[in-house]
Amino acid sequence: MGGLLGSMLALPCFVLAGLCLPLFPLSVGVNRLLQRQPTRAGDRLAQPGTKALVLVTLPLVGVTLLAAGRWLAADDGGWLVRGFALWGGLTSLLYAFRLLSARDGQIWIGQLYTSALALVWVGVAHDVPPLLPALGLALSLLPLWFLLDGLTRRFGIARTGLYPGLALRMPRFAALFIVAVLVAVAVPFSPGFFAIADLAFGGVGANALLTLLPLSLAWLLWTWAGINLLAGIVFGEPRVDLDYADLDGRAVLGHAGGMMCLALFGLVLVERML
Amino acid sequence: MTTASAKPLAEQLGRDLTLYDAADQLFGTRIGETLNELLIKGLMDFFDEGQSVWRMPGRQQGLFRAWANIARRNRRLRMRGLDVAAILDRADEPEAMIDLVMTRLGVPEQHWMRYVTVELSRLHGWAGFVRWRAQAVHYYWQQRNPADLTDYLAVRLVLALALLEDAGRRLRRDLRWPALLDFAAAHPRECLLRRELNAGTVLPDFAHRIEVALDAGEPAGLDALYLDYEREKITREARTRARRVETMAAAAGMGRDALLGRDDETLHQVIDGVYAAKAHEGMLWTRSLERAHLRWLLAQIDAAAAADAPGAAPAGPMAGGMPQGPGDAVQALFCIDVRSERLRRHLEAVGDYETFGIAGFFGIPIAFVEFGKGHETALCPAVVTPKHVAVEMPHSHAKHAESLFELAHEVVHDLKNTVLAPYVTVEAVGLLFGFDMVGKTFAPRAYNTWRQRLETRKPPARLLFDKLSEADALELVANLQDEMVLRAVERHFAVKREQLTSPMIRELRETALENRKGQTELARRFGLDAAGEAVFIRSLQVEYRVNPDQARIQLEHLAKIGFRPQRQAQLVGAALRGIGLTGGFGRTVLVVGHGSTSENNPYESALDCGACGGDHGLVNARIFAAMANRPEVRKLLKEQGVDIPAATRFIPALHDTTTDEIRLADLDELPPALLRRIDRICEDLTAAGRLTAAERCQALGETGISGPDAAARRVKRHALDWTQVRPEWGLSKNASFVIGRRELTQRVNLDGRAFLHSYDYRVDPKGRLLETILTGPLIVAQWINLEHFFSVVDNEAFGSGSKVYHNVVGRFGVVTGNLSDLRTGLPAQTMLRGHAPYHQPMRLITVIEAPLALVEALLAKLYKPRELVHNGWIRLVVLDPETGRAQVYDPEHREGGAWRPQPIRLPAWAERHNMQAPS
Repeated sequence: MGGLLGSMLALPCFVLAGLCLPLFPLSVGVNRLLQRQPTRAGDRLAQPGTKALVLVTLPLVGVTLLAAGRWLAADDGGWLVRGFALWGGLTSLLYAFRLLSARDGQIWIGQLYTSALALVWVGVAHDVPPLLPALGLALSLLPLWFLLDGLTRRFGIARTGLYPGLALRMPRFAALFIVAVLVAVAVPFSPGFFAIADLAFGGVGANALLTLLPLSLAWLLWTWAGINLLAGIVFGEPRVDLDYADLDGRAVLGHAGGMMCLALFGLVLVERML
Repeated sequence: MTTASAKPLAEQLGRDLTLYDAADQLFGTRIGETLNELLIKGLMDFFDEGQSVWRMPGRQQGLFRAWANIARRNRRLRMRGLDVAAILDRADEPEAMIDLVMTRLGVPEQHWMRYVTVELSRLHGWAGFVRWRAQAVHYYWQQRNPADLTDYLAVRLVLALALLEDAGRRLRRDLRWPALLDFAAAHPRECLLRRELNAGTVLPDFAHRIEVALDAGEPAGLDALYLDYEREKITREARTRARRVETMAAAAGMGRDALLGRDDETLHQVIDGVYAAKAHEGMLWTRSLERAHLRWLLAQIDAAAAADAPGAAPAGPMAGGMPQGPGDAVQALFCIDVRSERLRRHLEAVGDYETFGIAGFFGIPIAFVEFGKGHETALCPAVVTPKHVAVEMPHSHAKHAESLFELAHEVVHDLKNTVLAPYVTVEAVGLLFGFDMVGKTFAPRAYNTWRQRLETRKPPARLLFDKLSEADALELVANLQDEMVLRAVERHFAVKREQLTSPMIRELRETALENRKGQTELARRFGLDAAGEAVFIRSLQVEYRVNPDQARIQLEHLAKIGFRPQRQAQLVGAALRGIGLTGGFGRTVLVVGHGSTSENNPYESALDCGACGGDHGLVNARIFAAMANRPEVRKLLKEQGVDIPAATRFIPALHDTTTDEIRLADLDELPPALLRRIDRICEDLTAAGRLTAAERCQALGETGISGPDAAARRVKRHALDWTQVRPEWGLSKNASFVIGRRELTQRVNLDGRAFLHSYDYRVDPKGRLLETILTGPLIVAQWINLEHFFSVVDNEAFGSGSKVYHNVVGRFGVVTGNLSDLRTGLPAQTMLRGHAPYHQPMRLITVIEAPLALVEALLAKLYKPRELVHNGWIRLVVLDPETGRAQVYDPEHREGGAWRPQPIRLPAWAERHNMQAPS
């Protein structure tokens, strides 16, 4: 297809993709879903497993819709994609900035998800295949998601400042938590990092400013927010009035195994980049 | 509920909480944090002592005014919404500003004192520093940039008011004193829930519900939630208490069933009893540690005395007297510092050494001007203000040529310290820092040796500590003035020295000093008119400072230099009598000061000699030795009853407590015949140092040490390694202070935990010498002990936390990270091994060997030591040689006789030659 009609048909596809690779204000829905509290017993949408599934499947749906939109627009939809890329970059920065003040774990991860996945649009504008970056960024959040769920089950809520100093009381959990946060904020050698590098290398040749500015600024803000999260949960003086129970060996192996799988996925991304 | 937020706000406001603390707890603002951040930035700017490149302007006006001038124009404050300028415009004086802010905040006047106390305690490190600065009237930076607590408080309160007003606008609430109290009274349950939530003490699973309820703002919902919350909190607290009691009971051998078999009332009593005891637990452990150490120490002294009794094997070469005769033995005076104990013990074991403990400034309080430095350093305990100056003078006055290395070093550091240069020169000079880092990190010993070769060594210098006669002082000043006249003439008229005569120079000097008037020979010879001559003379007076006022100041300064022979004899005599060394002198007496060596260590002075004001003790040792070697001083000493034989030589030395190396000084002043003997002494000192290093390596937890040689190499590496956070343990683990003969402890391994001050009560019938010890060294030792005590019981609050995160600020202090309260106390690496305390928190156990009546009389006379002993800051034990009892003072039973006697054996007295009471 192509032409004006193609572009017109591509627009709804891109908008629908903007729900999955969230663009503000379409991102509200995803964030609501990730922050959903159980309204009744057996509320499946509020289950952590369901939410994790959403975290992984939404990017796939989004990438599919993107591909459909691009096929419909063909070569005439460049202006449309560039507009969405700008929208994606601004959304990413907005949520990265909001992330700095987030204290609740579910809000934190929802906003990081939005900020990260919105960056995929920046790569799309420069013909970077979106699948692996989108998956890399989304999957990087999973270890942290499950650890935050662990905190919710232990303390009733996953939030900074309520039970600081876990490094002293739950050292195994804290060690995994640090790694999970670092992976989530895409520190070098995590899949998220390679995903960002993929987006950056793919786009820098076409437009260095529009590619690097949102990527680097968002990345900087994530790291800052990650440090805030660690400072409010892992470090500090622990409370004496709470009961602490560290992860047992099986749980440690499970989490560590998941992270190893992510590392392998990172290798796939590296191979793609090379 | 037992959390702090459960107490009524009205009770805590102004007592534990400031208004912004209350606002933070009630409404989740972060005013306190922001206030501290803004204040610290201002304080760092103002108090900077040369670290900043761009210095804060107007600092000479004082802290408040200088800060106010900047704050009025500070756009960042305005962008934050803080209208500081409007507040500052209302008052100029800090006192008026404090009054204005307190009134505007609505704090009732009867609460002001307490409120101010709470404010000052919020950043106690900075507040303490400002207080110290205000009292240090002679401190250069205080004279230049004055500051006091009134300034500090005014700045803090202005910022607090601005932040509270801004927060009040945003929250649409009145955050002043009456409004907050009204809010707390009208909504006590909401108030508690808010405080629990924002103070971080909330039950985590309630946090979300409380937030939702507070957002909804329905009183009924809040009340219901409060009741739920209160019930749950109390239940969980009870469960936690029960579990703890169960754990304790299990540890005490009581099973769960046996515990549950008790009735409720008994269980309640147990729980209450346990929690009541918990409040005093710290002191209980402290007393326990003290008692154990005291018993051990007295038992060791007793056992040593038993072993020393007739028929027992001798402890060492010097035990029980001096078997080789007084001339053969080497006597050594060491600082009382706990680190000297190990070295003394090993030195006594390896050879014929008799050691003495004395405050490390050797009784010579001086202000020292080092060669090449423009300031005086007080080398004496902080309780003493030195009245005399000693100056270091190089042997020759050859012009100091800077090496190429030093020039490069200076250029590189200048570039580093400017604002923009680092950005443009990093590629060019960054690599140099890289070499430096690699060398310091991977091969510190070799790299430092190489660096030392490149650096220009300090020229050999001698110490000027003799009082100048008036004629000498006048001549010195005249010579200096003539030098200035010559320079001025050369610069103004390009006239060289060979064209001038001495009378011409004298004439110019006297004219500038206003001792003569009229045309000078210079003007006549070089055709200078009256106006030109007048300008030149004025230049001499103003620019070259050849004027009557300056001459008077120079003479005053010169008058402070040195000691007269009588004073020298008095100081040396007092020091020797104080340690009981009034006769039986050996041919060699070492005077060993101490200091430390470490790299990249802002706490270096904490490892140096406390008696020398936190500096190295070598200068005092050199002066003491030089004085004691003077024939005229010895003659005067003989008149005082201290007869030092002509063959006796006092030799100064420095004990490096990090490497345990002992370096003798001023050897060039020794007669050649002594040099062979010196070689043997050096060998002995090296051996003792290595044995000490081996012992210290064990304490440091070093592994892979095959012997004393390897230990010596390891500690040397620590001294030069810039990554080493614990070059030595310093005075950590200090526990006791023994004032008495060395024989008391000579056979005892005190493990480097005791201050040892030699004292012989028999030469001190009136207690004058003991009085000096009690009012000087004991006070300093007690300071050191308490500094360690508090630093270990709460390292974050009273110590300075981990060194790893420390940064030097303004060249005067240390902060954690880039911005924090000024850290006080000692770092975790000095106090803790891992998370466990290395230093044991004990009050100083002070053992005095003297008759009880003498000690009691002195305590009755001396306020400070008496307060320390009676109020339990010092645990005092008197070993009464006349009754053969150890009298332990118990401050808790002062009314009914506080002394608890117990029998103890003391070593026999070794008679000294010429032992006499002071005249």
